[in-house]
Amino acid sequence: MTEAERRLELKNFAATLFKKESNHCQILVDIYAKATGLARSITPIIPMEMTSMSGSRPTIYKWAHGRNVTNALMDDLKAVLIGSSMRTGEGRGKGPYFAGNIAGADGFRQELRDKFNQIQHATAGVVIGYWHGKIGEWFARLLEDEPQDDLLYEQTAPVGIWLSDNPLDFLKLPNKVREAIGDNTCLKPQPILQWSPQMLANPPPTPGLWERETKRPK
Amino acid sequence: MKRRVFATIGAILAFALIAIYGVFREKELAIARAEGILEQLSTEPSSAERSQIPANLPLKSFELADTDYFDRSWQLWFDSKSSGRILITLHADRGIGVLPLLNSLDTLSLEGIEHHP
Repeated sequence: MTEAERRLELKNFAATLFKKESNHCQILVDIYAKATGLARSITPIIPMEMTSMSGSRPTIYKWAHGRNVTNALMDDLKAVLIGSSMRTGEGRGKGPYFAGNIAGADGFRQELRDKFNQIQHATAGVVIGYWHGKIGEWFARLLEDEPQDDLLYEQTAPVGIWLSDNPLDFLKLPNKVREAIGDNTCLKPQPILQWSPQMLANPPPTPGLWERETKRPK
Repeated sequence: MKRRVFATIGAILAFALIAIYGVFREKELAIARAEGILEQLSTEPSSAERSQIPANLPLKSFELADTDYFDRSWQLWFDSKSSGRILITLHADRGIGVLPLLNSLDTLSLEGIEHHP
């Protein structure tokens, strides 16, 4: 699956959820789960046995081919929920994979709700935290007037900062976001999209060479 | 050596302050630009932008409720108790760093206008 195919599928999935699901937190969590499911097909996860100083042999997991799939995931989520990068000359709310603006924050914790696009805002928090760290979070919050948005950045940017190229962290992302922003109506992602040890033991076949990932759609 | 370290730190701080000031200034410009667009829409009912929102929408009843900045774009949400929300997206042409200082009302281009009932 190429980058373009992956993003198109994620866009269609998001657009369908926007129409049929009324819980905005659930929409967000399910899109994240779908995005991790799609991005992890870029390259397999490989278990590696380590030898520690104490003599134990813990297993750690890495992406094959030295890929950082988390970078691809962040770019996919940004393209679909926020819009293309300004670098491509399009920008926020634009681009071939942008799924549209959806207003509302049902399913978000009470103090994080407003009537505007909190799905996009939460994703911006994660993306800012991932790429720009604490300084990015600080700058984003400095610009915020609205208390709900400020709190949303406070909750979501640390998730982006926590996120690493470790496949196990990558697979936990949807639930981590749900725990950061959701109330009790916002449920765990669909079982098929959740992380499980079986998924690691049976990685899906790699549909494309990782080099294809680096190509930008024209 | 010490003097050079202080000079470097001072330069970085000065750059950061100018960048922050630039974005705050740009925020004020974005608000003025978006309010100007709404005003223009209410006086020019046949414009291309006006066709993107329902014709019978009473634009005077909308008030600015939220302003967001991300990736050189501003999104401004206007809210009305009875008529929903209007989202105006503006693109800041002059970018990040100290460049926001170079933006003006004219360089904040309208990227989109949407009505959310």
